[in-house]
Amino acid sequence: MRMMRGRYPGRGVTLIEIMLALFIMASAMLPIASLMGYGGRATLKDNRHIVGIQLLQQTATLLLQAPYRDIPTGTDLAVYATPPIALGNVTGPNGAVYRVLLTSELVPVSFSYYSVNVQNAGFSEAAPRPTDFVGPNTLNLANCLKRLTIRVSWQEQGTVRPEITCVTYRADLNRRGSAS
Amino acid sequence: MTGIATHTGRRGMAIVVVLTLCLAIFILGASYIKTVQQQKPVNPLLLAFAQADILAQGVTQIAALKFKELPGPFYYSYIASRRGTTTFLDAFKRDTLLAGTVASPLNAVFSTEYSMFSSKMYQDMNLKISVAVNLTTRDGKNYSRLVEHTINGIRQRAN
Repeated sequence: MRMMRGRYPGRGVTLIEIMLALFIMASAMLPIASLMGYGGRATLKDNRHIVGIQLLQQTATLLLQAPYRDIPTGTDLAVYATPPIALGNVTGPNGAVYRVLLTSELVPVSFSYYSVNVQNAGFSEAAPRPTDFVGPNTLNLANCLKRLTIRVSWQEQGTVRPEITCVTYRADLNRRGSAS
Repeated sequence: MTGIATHTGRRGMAIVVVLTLCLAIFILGASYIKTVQQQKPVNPLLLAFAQADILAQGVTQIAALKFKELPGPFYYSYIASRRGTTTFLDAFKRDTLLAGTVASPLNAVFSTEYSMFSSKMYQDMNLKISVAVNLTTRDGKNYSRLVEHTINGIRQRAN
């Protein structure tokens, strides 16, 4: 060995260098590899969140278009009679299972307005005067407005269960029989 | 002598190569972290956008309901407002259902505007309902959304 070292003094040093280099490389790669894993998990988590938002939006849009009378009232409803609205456990396109719940409650409607006395002398449809207005008056309506609260939740790693919520209103625009 | 000189010239190359590789990996990792950090704040915005949009569509329905129930008072109030007296139209659109707040589970403030255009007195009723929603997210950021809905209708006198 001594003779070899004497002839080629660089060889042993190069081996140590390679080992050192491998060690440095491994030290650098380990956190980066774990970071890549973390990034992948974060992307999946993000995807579940985005699909949850899409599900929330889709359910709300369908409920806003659904016939008023078909929307049941109640708290945390998990069943809806008419497709394509799906409540309860819904499997997303990413394979995750989402829990979609609907809380629907009747809201009393009270509209204020000024009526117009069209019998007033000199009344003109094109130019009503302030004196032609009578009020303020209140119009009270029952069973023609529902407040809808939609909640979507899903299971994340561990016991974490994120939940997103939205609120909207569905009015009975067809209550007088005309097209809504 | 030539061989020794060659070996001597290569000394330290491996560490240089590895450090260069490490630098390259570090740059890749840093750019990856930056990308992930930039993606993160998108989600709250998406949710706020959806929540504001859905709420605004609901308020639009309430505004449409009021218009359908009280077309005459709206019509005359609107004409009066165009002629300078806004009291009656203001009263029409100030109901708490049209200009109010949602405190739970969201934190939102909304208001409604009506406007009419291309109207032919008692024949065409082209009505635009605009609902503005200002939503405050959990982290205190404000997000605004304006939803406009146009109703094209023909009015007929009841027989």
